[in-house]
Amino acid sequence: MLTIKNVTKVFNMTGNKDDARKALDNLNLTVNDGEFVTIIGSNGSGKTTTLNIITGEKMPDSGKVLLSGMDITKLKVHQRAKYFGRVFQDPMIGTSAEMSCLENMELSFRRGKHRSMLKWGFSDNTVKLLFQKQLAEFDLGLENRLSQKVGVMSGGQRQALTLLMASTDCRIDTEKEFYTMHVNVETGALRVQAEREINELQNRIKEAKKVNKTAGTQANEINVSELEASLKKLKADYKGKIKEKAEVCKNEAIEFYRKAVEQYKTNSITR
Amino acid sequence: MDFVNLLFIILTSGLPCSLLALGIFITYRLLDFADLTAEGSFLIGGVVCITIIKNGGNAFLATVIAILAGGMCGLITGLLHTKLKIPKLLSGIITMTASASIAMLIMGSTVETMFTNVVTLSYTQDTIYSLFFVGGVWNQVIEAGIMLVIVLVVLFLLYFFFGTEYGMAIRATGMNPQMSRAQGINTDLSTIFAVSLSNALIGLAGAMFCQDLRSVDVKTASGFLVIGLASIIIGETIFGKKTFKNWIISVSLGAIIYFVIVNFAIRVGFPTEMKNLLYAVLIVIALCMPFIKDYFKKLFAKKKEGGLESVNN
Repeated sequence: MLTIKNVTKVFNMTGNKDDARKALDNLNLTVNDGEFVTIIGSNGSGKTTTLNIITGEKMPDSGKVLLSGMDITKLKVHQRAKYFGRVFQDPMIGTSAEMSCLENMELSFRRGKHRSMLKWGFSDNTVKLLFQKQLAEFDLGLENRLSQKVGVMSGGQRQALTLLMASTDCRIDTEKEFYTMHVNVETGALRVQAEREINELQNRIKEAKKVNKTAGTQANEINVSELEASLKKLKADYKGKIKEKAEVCKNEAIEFYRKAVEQYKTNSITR
Repeated sequence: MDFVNLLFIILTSGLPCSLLALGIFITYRLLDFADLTAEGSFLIGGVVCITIIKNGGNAFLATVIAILAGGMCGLITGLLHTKLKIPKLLSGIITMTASASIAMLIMGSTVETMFTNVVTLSYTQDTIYSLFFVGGVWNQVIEAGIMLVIVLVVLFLLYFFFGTEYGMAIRATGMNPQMSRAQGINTDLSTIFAVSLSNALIGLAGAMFCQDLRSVDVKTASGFLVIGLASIIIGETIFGKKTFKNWIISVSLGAIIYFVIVNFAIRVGFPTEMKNLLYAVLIVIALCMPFIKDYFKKLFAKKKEGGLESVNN
């Protein structure tokens, strides 16, 4: 069970006071075992910050992060890596471009384990076959490109590999928790479009009010209440659309992850 | 005979620089850390080694201590960068600057070093090469042979090390630190380790180079950072970097090619006082070689296309 207790995070605290931004304000969150969580919010609402605080990239100003009762707030990213598999928003960050597909897999295979200076970094053939089998499930043809550098692959292929890397080691750790957080940014584009329309309408209302004041005659008066009504409708529509889109995204994400989790269950081996 | 002599001059100055190039390669290419400590650790390596031999120490012991001293320089740079958050370039410069004074301190203030800043071995004092000398013309062969063995051993060890679990973690650290941390790699530690390893190698290079000269000067190391960088780029351009094995062999051969070019230029009558200009031109050529290669590739590709069109017509 993952618990976030009263976490507050303020950015730009040391600089100009006007620049300071409260990203998280007294956040409380509990994720139970086996639960699937989607966090939805507009840009700058703190989705990524929440994720960063869970994985340790950012330290909270106050509050605690608990994992099955164990306080992990002070642990560094690499120290808690064994508890979390992370898929980054940017597909370029999740994998190492100059290393081959196989080398990337081997890296994730040793997450949370001691890395020896004397032991050869490539595992034997059985593990390689397992990697191939896992990659084959994505239907991207990655299983035949094990020795290729990840840098030559497309963003989508790299993201698929990142996903696999994020889920590899959880099958072996004694910890039963398997948390994967998915922050969806697909609603972003929709939001920008709606915001533009809303802004335009608001400007028109403002102008109409001005015109009405100066004109002062009934004939030239623009119907403000009509504009306001359409603005209201637009906002409501937008909310509905976002909800709809989020639902679709959520279902897609669940499907995607279910596949990955099932894959790791069927292919689980001991090392 | 003249040609053979030239060959040995190239080998005895080129092989230590192969190690220097490999050391710089670790930081510059694998770790993405432009490490200016190199000149400092090269000097410290040479000074430590020669001073110990001068004071009656065993040459092998002196070389090992030189390696450790070089590694210590790297350790300081690594700590400055990771723990005190000083930018990479600056932390290298700081160590390099300090090392000049440390070198003087190690050399001590004897009558000889006070005015000239030079320590020279007397003929009775043995270097790791002269311990095996049998006399006559064979000496040169033996010296080059010892250097070659050391370079080959280092190449093998590097190849093995960067294939191990931890070596792989170091390579990942250089390429993508954020991902490395998410995969549970302590990037601070791996950075410090790799910078120390790199400078230990450069310390060995300095010790080998100065034992060949049988003397060390506080100015010995100046310009060697550039030689190392040029060697890496020349090697990569000529011999490629397809696999890791291919890459490190290319880098070590690059240093030898560099000395081949410089020595032949001087031999065919290039004025010695213009040597630095030659170095600069050489580095420019080496640096823009990939660009030139690309340009010609495109040129040929275009010609081929033109040919196809004419066939179709």
